[in-house]
Amino acid sequence: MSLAVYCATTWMTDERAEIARGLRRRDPSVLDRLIEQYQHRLLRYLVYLAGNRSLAEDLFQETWLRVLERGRQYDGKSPFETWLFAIARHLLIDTLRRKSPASLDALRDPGEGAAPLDPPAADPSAYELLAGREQETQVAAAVAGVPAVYREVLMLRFQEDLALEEISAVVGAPLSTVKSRLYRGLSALRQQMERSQA
Amino acid sequence: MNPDVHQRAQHLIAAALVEGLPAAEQAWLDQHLQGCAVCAQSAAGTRRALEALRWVAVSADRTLVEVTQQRVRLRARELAERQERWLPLVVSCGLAALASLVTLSYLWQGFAWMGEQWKLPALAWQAGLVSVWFLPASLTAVALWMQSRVTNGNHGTMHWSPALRGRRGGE
Repeated sequence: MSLAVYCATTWMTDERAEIARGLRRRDPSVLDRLIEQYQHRLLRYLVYLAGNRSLAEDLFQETWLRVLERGRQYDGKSPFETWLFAIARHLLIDTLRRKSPASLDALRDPGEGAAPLDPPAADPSAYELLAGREQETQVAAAVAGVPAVYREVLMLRFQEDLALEEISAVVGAPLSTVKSRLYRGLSALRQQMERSQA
Repeated sequence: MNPDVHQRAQHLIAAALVEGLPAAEQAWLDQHLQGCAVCAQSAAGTRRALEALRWVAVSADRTLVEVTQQRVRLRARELAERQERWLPLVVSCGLAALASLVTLSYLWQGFAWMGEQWKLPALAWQAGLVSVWFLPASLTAVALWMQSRVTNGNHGTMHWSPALRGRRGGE
């Protein structure tokens, strides 16, 4: 068991070092691979955070350009996704500041038009499609009702499975704040779910 | 049952999910949930909410990924070209600075001689010397400024535009 853990840790460290080397060289093939690897996770994070798919897609591109330009700052010591999410977060905040001096809380409501949390493009049966869509719409509405600051940490913890310390690094807040946001977020999510099911 | 007990249970339900519980507290919670329907329902509700959160999938569009990769490659090429241009510039600036330092005393003597010949006040020929001294650096700065303007104008030529979104819809 410990051998497996050791091998996994060594492999992850090697992979991070390889990413850091590739980013220092600004190697397009490394970036191509990273975009492929993290496409869904990054977009999901941005959609959850911004509550607006169109804005999230624009920021998705800008994030990768920023990764290319600032790649030398990634030292390979922390997980790549932590660094990636932190960049995406800063970009979103910058974008919002340019538009209006709003905080992340102002993003509580999803943008008008298309549903911000679109169901996945799958090929289920008609029944599954109907039941699934209904449940997804319900969940999406409940999630969108949770304030963005809580939604963000909930998503990082329970969907991205990041450690509390990693979340703290992404959001740039102390560990105690992250925990407090998670507790409040859980409570808010549960209330929203209950409300949407009622 | 004491309301504090339920409050503690509620806190531990969330704590178990957020940061995990020590064995003793987990055992206490398990025992409490077996005997308290309200708290057990609350725990189940929280679990369901989190499962639902995982269930909502957001996937990136293929076109978005391809356009992003293309933009990144273009930008990488631009940055590489810029870096290639910078190296000779830095080397030549270094050499120019070195040459200026070495020739400063001769320049000073030359300008002093010219000032004497043309009966110029000391301030005038010294100002001339300073201008000549800064001329290469000023020209380089202007060239770099113009170059950066051109490069910034070309930056990110391909965007995830509404037209592309329309194309995605048509696929």
